Amino acid sequence: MKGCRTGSSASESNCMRPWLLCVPVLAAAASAGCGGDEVPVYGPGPFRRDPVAPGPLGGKILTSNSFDDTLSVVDPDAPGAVGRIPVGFSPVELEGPHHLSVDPAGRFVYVNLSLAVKGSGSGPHGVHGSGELPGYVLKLNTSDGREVARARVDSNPGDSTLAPDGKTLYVSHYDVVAWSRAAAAGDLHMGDSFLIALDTERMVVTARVALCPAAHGVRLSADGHTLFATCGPDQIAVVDVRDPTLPVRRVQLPGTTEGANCARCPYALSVAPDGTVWVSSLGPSGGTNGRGGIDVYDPAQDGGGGFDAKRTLNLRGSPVFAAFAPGAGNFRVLVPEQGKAGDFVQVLDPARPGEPPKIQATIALSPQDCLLAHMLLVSADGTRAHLVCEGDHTGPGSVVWLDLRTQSTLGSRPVGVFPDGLALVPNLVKR
Amino acid sequence: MNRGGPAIGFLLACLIAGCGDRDVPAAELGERRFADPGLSTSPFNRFSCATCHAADAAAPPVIPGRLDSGYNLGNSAGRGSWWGTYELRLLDAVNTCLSDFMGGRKLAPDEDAARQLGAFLDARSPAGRSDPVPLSVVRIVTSLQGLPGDQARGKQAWERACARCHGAPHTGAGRLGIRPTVVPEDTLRSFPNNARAVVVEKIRHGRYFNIGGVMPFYSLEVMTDLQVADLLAYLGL
Repeated sequence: MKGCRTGSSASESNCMRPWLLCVPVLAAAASAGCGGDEVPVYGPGPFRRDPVAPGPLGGKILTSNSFDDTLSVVDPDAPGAVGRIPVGFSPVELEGPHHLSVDPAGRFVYVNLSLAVKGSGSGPHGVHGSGELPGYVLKLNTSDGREVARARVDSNPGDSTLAPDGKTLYVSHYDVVAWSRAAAAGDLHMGDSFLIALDTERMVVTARVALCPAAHGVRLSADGHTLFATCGPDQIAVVDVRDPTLPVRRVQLPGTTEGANCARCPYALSVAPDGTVWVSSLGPSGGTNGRGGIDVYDPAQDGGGGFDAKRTLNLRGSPVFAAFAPGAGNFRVLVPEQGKAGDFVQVLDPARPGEPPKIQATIALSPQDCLLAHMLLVSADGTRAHLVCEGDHTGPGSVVWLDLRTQSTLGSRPVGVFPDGLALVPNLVKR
Repeated sequence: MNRGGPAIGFLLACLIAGCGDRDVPAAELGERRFADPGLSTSPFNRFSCATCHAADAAAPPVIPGRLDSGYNLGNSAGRGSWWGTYELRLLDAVNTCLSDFMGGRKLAPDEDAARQLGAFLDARSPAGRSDPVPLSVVRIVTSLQGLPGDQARGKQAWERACARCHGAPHTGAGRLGIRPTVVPEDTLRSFPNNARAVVVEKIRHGRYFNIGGVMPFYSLEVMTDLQVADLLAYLGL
């Protein structure tokens, strides 16, 4: 730098200035990134091609499809396209959604996940579907069908029912494995399955009480005070749910005794508008050869509740979940019946205490529309019904539209594989 | 007057302002994440998406000869459903891999990793809408005893399907960390009486069906029973 002088015109261009030394260093630093970041430049939404989410589900009928891990979404007013909502934890394993309950406000759907799908997967050291794993209840949002919470319950969750305020979900467990083991051990009560009460807001178990072996169908009285459940050994369980200890009383079906096997094999029940409980039994050996029937439990009988033995109705096939429709001066009982002779909906006059129900009409279902009728929903005005049919358990089941005025089939649509639950989502949510 | 002052000032201003920051298309960043095991939050994970998937828009979902356990993700963004129609959102499909195989937490749709990976898959999906790809899980596993395999084909299948994680057979040389087993020696040690069936089971069920671990499974679409039998022959089982 010596000899360089400011203003020396001759030498200025050649004269090294101290700041010039900084330029390459700074330029190199700048061009090297100088510790700067890569700034992502985003285009249109990367997931914009995802399909439209199913929902909102208000006003729609849902079926739980136990052999393909989906719910089907059906428009009750039109036998048109059927939507599909996959459920469960793994897209690889079958986890068995088995029955569902819908929040009276129409905001949530609760689906039992049984984790017990027979024959769904096995190998030398991995098994699935043995019914030994704990089950779950999934809480799905009806706005888009997505899971928002889950709760672990016992093995083989069977049926469920919600308290009228929607705050408590009661879950039965159809654990026939425990019943068989207990019978082999000579102590039937060791095989009692448990009734679980879930707080639906927090999805936590708030009560768990021994109910009976292989409990399945479960419903509440209209006031929500009493719970009824079918029990494997030809009984129903009656539970006072107002008492936090959930005291259980078991009532034997007429003409049966408690044992390691069942003679009538109760599986489903429904509570009628007059408060009576209509118990559907599949028949001996779980209904393999039909010969099931209906028994009527009257909570008011003898002041404490009991079966009216004269109101038993025997059927050729196996009745499942009944529903009720308004009738002239009374109600009608609609009973899906499945069996080797075919599938039917029996329309019953409930008759009076001391008299057996009378078959008013039989709606025969074509095998194309329905194979293994399972559960019914009746429209509020009683003119139509929706029936879910299991199908052959390998291909699709179906939902059938019935006209109750003409007692005929209006149409049917295929749904998922082995549907066994049916519920209407109230269309009450303002979005 | 010092005329160098403005130049230095400019360069300094550039540095301070982060003049080195560089705009990068999200898809380019997503491509790097696709090949990066660090996409998973698990310190034990060694898998990247690219371990099991190609992303070639010009190729079909199952690229002949590759024997990837996962489908080619070229043109995957418009499939409408994934994982054999059981995932209805692309990010849910990605998250299934992240949680089940890579042991990490699931990505939220608004975080950079999700958006960049999504942008990459979107960029590799020029075809628009495409059909969902079937996924046939072999549910009941047998030992394929009656199906004779071919050792030479089995060697080729091993190199394409198994070696990237398990390394060399019998020694495990070159395997992806210490978690993948040495095949078939570890299997024979744990299951001396039915190692053949257990190997079939691992191929067909991976980590699922109460088996555990992080291994993906091979559906019938990506590996036939005959190819499994070839592998068994190569392994001497």
